[in-house]
Amino acid sequence: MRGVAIIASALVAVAVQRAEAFPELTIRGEVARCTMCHVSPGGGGILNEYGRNEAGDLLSRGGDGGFLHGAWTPPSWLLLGGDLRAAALAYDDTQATEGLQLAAFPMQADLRAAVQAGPFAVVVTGGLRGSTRLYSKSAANYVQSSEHYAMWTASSGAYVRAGKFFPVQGLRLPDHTLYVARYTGLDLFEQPYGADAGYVGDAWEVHAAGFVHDPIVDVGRRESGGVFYAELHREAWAVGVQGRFGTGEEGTRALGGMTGWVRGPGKLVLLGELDVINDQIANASAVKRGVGLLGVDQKLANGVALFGWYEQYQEELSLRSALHQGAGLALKIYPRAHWELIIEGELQHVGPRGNVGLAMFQAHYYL
Amino acid sequence: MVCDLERATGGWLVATLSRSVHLANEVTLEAPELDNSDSADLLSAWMKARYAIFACLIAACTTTDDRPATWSFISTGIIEPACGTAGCHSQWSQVSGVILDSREVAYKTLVTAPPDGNGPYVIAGMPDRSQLMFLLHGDEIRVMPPDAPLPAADIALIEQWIADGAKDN
Repeated sequence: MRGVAIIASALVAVAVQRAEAFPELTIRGEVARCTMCHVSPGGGGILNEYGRNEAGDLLSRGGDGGFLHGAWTPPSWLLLGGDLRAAALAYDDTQATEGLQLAAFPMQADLRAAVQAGPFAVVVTGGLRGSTRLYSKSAANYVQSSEHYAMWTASSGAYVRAGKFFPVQGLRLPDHTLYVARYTGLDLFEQPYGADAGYVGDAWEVHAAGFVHDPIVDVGRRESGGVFYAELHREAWAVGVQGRFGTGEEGTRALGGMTGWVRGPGKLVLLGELDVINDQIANASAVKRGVGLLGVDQKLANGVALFGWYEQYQEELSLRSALHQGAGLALKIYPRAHWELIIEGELQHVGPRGNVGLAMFQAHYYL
Repeated sequence: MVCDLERATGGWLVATLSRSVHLANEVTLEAPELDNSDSADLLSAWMKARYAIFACLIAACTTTDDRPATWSFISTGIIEPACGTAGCHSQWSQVSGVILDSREVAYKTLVTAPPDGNGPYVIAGMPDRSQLMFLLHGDEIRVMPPDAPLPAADIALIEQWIADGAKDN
């Protein structure tokens, strides 16, 4: 019974996701860059005024994208928002002895605020962590701030910021469980403290950051280092290069990789990321890891899109039996402004267990 | 070599490579029909490069696991990224009281003094009697980690570490 309890909670806990941007919009070319709709230079997080105005028309099937559906408009120097997300899932593996596992749970409850004064802004996101069961007697353990930073932005697109945030890296897809996120330092609540600077324009963008591990939300690899990401984008394609270096008591990791996407006919987009990681583990040997994703995004109608992906993670490039493979399909529906519904199926083929399947439904509402 | 790779990847990689090479042959044969000879040369060179890449990929993979069966490697390289995540067995979440996100605490949890008082998950020298192995294999219980089970090579390495005495080395 202990095992069942462990599994039920872990099964759900690992599915907790963060709400982020809808990078498909940028990739499909419906907006030129993330910063048209978001305050953050890497996209995600609180929406700016333009982003809210476009939420009803560009992303969904109508409605007022304003804060509280336009019932009250904050003063121009204040941006407010939030995300509420709930999910239900079914899980099974090909050799399960306990049958199908079902669960429903709160996934996210965050409030977001940004105070703006000319080119300066202070951004804070905080809320409750999703969980199906009480794991701590202290209420403080359920409260967290996933990001808080101060930023200066020039009208040219240059910026400097400092605080807690994910440095710009990779494809910036919203699902933190994708291999290209969870094995490259972008898993749930792994935001470090740091400072970054860069430029975001219509044709290209470049970002460089230095970071240290968050000692309070002590998750992920305990490392300090730097991240570099540069992307060139044109009308029908984009290509990005990235590097990440982190070192700490557990060892030293160095990542190099590429991202890219190309638009096809009829709102079809192919996208991909490939990274190689040299992981020198302290008091042990070095391993070379590889992680990659190939995805296809198809807008079916206004407010309806399909995203499919195949991913691989090789824990040691020279060892063929250290391979993870996964594939999934997600139908994303935006029935009205403020609402996102996701129906998702995922299959993984790893090791001696054969296939592991997951089906999930998410309902996301943003204030 | 290709057959081994096919077994290791469930056939996907080899099938993909085979299709790619087949396509490469077709396109290379068709290349001279292109009007632009420079484009044909470029395409041909690209296809040759792809052959080289595929050959390197296939030649690079081996079946021998040279990774050390030591706790230092297993903890940081396998257990922490797979099990000690924010939503599961991190210091922050401690699902079921199990912490697996640091070398020292994870060793204590698994080998010496589990906080839930149900006995150690690892019995040194006896992988076939260690609960950790049942969890990783999913024998009589759902597999751990449930979202991303470990590949065979990782499980074999952990089994070797336990068989060697489950030392904090």
